[in-house]
Amino acid sequence: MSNQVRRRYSDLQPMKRYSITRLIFALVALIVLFYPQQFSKSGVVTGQKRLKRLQRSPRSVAKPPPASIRVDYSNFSHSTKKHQAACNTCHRLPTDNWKKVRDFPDVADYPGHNACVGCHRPQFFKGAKPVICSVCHSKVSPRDDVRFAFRNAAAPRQFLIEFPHDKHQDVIARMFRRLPAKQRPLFVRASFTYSNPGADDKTKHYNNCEICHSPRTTAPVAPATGWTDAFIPDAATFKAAPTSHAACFNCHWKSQQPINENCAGCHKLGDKSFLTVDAPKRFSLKFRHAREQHVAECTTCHINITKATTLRGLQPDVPITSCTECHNKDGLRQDVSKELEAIDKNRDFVCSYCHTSDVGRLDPPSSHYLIAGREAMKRKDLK
Amino acid sequence: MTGTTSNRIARRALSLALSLCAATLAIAQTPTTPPNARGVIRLKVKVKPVTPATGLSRKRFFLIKGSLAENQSLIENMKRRPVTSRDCYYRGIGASEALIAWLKQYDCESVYCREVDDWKEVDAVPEFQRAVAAGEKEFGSRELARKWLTVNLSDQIRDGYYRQQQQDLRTLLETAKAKVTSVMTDQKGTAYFTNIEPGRYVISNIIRIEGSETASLWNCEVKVEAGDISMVMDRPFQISNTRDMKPLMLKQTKCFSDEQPLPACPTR
Repeated sequence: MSNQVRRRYSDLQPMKRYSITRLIFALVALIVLFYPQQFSKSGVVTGQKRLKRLQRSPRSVAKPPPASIRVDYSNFSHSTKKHQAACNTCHRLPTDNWKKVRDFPDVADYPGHNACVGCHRPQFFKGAKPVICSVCHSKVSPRDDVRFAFRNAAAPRQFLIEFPHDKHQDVIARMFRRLPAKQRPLFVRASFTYSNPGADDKTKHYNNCEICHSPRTTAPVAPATGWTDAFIPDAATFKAAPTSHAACFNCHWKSQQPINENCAGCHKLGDKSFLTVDAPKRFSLKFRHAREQHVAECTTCHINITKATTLRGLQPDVPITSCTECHNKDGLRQDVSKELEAIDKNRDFVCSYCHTSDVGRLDPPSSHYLIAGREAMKRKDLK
Repeated sequence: MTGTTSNRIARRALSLALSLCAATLAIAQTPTTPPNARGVIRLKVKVKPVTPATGLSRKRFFLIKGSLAENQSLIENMKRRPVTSRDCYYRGIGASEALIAWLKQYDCESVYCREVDDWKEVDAVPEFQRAVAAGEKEFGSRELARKWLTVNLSDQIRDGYYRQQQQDLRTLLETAKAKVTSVMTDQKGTAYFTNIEPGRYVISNIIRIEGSETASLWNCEVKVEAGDISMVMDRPFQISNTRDMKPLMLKQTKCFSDEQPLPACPTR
């Protein structure tokens, strides 16, 4: 049967055969064009892709030079095999200078010369200004022993930090019972003056996310391309994150692992060195944590943080519903709905209540339309 | 003859293409759940005395794959696990009554609950006094010794209660080979399980949560359907440890805990 058809098909005039082939291809192309979801792997039409969070994303600086190239001794790398001995081979904890530069015992200085000279004697005594000295010393001179601050904020980072949010949130959990004031125990020692427990609750500071994420006090750094729409968020728009051992050693100094001598418990050597980018990158840059109405507990909006076992792959985890419980409620406000309606009238409308124009000019994600009780649509489909 | 044959073939090819097109259109019209569709649960935990504002704050809840029947042996093991109250644990390791009173006063499970920021508290609790004395010797600063007080407490006092609970949790889950995810409630007792594959699950706290007189254990079956978080905002999965609440709220509550009285502590 198939041979017969094939023979008949080959008998056709070349022009006619060409037309039939063209017709079939055109039909298949039309089907694929109009029903892409039937042909995609996930079965879902690929929608608007969210921007990648750029804040503190690792940026490759340089690959280690091949062995054939001269070694640059001004660049110290923990990736070098011979630099991977136990941390306390070179680093002391605490360093002698901690009381001068910190208010807690810490690794506050570079290792001494002994740590380097054992292997690098030739480089140490090469020329008047040995290049190897510039790893630690801001000025290379035998008469000047000034060093960079430890750690040198301008130097690329080599280690990634391990931090399980879930465990830390567990250990600061409270009991749920609240005893009536009369049943509360009172301290019996004469030296302890006991005041009203109700009043105590207001002044006592419970450990919560804020012990590490207090309101930011320094202004954020502008992105490399400048602030979009010249909108400059103030410091209180953001929360701070720990930048030193101060946030860790108060519990992990000794006994509670990972302790001060177990550096690898928190610091994992990365594949590449990287520079941290302090410039904020947010979808809703206009959201201010410090705004007086934004008083909920962190986990009320950051709904996935309590299951985060690592800092790797943390994603923006504030759903639109965290905002619209107030900002798109009947009888309250209709901030999302209003801007979607504005797009209906003018497809070039830029959403600006929460977003700067880099985000505000994109197609609103389907979650926004769902909140407004509408079918999701694309700007290009509007007249 | 050749012309007739070629016309027939052209017609066949055209009808084949049209059939293909029609079949695709039919498939496209059939509503199907995308294979990667995920669901969300908005969990609300109300505890006695129930008011709209009282929620069980900062407690971990687990989502266990499978129905109640499928997880029966795990649930039986949870129920059989003996309850050690916080007070009994601390009494059992020989903690001072002053330390137990300090924990009780601030509803704390451990000394990590809050910073001991008042010297009067240090003076009142012998364990704190000893820790500050050791810290002062080590750091040369009484203030730093107070701030870092927990580093000089014994292991059992510092986090023994937490470690004991974690050990029990691990044992229960490893024995059952259960696949779980977990989240913690916020101050209003709300938590979200996101990105869940549709199906049947059990929401459980696994380790009983201690209340003022009883310890609560929730094991609640929930059916998860694919959908966006906005669809569950008005339909939370509400659970409680009491039926003593207003009728409307009672109607909204999907599951109640199994309560067990707190045991009396053995005398020292």
